[in-house]
Amino acid sequence: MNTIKSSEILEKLRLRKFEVLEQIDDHYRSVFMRWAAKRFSATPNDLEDAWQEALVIFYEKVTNGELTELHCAAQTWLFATAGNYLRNMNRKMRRVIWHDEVDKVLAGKNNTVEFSDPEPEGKRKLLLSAMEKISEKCRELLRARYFDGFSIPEMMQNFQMGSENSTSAQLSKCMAGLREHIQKLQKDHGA
Amino acid sequence: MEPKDFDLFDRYLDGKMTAAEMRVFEQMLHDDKAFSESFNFQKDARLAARLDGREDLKNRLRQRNLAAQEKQKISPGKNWILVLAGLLLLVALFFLWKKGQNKPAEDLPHQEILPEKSTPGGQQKQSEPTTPGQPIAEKPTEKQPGSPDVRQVFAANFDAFQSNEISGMLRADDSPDAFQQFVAAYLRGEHNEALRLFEDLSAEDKSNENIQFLKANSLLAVGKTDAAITVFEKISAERNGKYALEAQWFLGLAKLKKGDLVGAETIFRELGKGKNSPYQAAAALILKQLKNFR
Repeated sequence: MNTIKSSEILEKLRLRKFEVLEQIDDHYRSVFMRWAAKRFSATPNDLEDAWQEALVIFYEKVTNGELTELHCAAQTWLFATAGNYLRNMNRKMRRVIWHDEVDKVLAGKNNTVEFSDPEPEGKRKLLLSAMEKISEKCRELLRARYFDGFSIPEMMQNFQMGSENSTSAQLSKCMAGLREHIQKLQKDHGA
Repeated sequence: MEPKDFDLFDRYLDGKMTAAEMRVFEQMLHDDKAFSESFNFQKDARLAARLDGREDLKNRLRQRNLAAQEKQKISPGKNWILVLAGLLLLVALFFLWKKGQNKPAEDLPHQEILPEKSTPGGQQKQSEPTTPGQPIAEKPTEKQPGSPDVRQVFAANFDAFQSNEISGMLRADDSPDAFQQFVAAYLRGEHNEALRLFEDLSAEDKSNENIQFLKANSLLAVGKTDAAITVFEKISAERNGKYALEAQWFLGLAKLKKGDLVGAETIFRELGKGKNSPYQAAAALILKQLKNFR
């Protein structure tokens, strides 16, 4: 991983090369666990959640074009983001101050992520249930569009759909199906 | 929902509308209730897809890690080699210790009275603060009658704390700041210089307990044992502190340097109890060494 520059990591992630994320995970997961365990009063599960959250956000931000360059090493960005997640989880959490790259990134308000309160758990579950009810094909298309950040032309190419219009129409159909399920679930839950 | 509405909503939510288009769109949201409701569903549907994608990615990462853990459980060959190496090392250390015990006291080197040298907590060997033949700076507070000086156990076991993390703080820099200069002197084993440079640090740095931990190591290395004990006691009392455990180990050593056998034994006994403590084995070993002084 040391031989891969941050710019290369970003470039590969922009192409949705999941294996880059795997490489980062393999190289830095245990380093992060040791680093964070010394800094935060948190359970191993909390640390695990924070690390995964940081990886997912990193992927999302790069693929949707929000993160186009890094002002620090990729692992430093990830550690800082995971650190922010842990701090947000428990604002009174004790943090031991050390002088290292991560502290500089946190202090410098670089392009890391500040976490706000997540979606209410009830709404989150309802939306995820609705996603489970649509066809696998639609689920794949909607994820590609709204999570992986594929544009319509990219989707047309990747999913070998005839034209941009038909891609858009297919997505619209999937959205309509999802919307029906959301409405039905909301009605069932009296929302 | 009409496909054209779907496209419109996406363009708005993706921030791809012109200012004029946005004004018209927002007016429609305001005026048309059905349009506004449809838009809110679109937002929820996008959020649903995004949450689903996140969960999917996390699951993939989780599955990979579980698979890796399973693989490690199935093929523990590497671990067995480590365990075997550890056992062999313990046996070797035991024989060395026995050999050392059988030697008459006057034959022993001035400081390294006991040959075992444990380096727990990732400490690395560095220059000895007191050289052989030099008198040790302070008088012991307790002297064990008919036995060699317990301070020699200190000399045989003390190396100022070092870790890769601390070494990693030094970067090639033409104009290192006060903190870097302090760390550099500390790592070179120039403890008097490190203590001088400590005074140049900012008030925030001076009160940082991690930096104080290094300072206490320097104090101990230059023979200012009482001052070192004060700092180690404070840090080891903070159970959640980064170096609480390490401070306890060095507090035990500092007590030895003071000749306080009882105080040191109490600390090493406590360290020996800690499950998964990196100091468990080292504490047990030092307690064994201290039995010679009873």
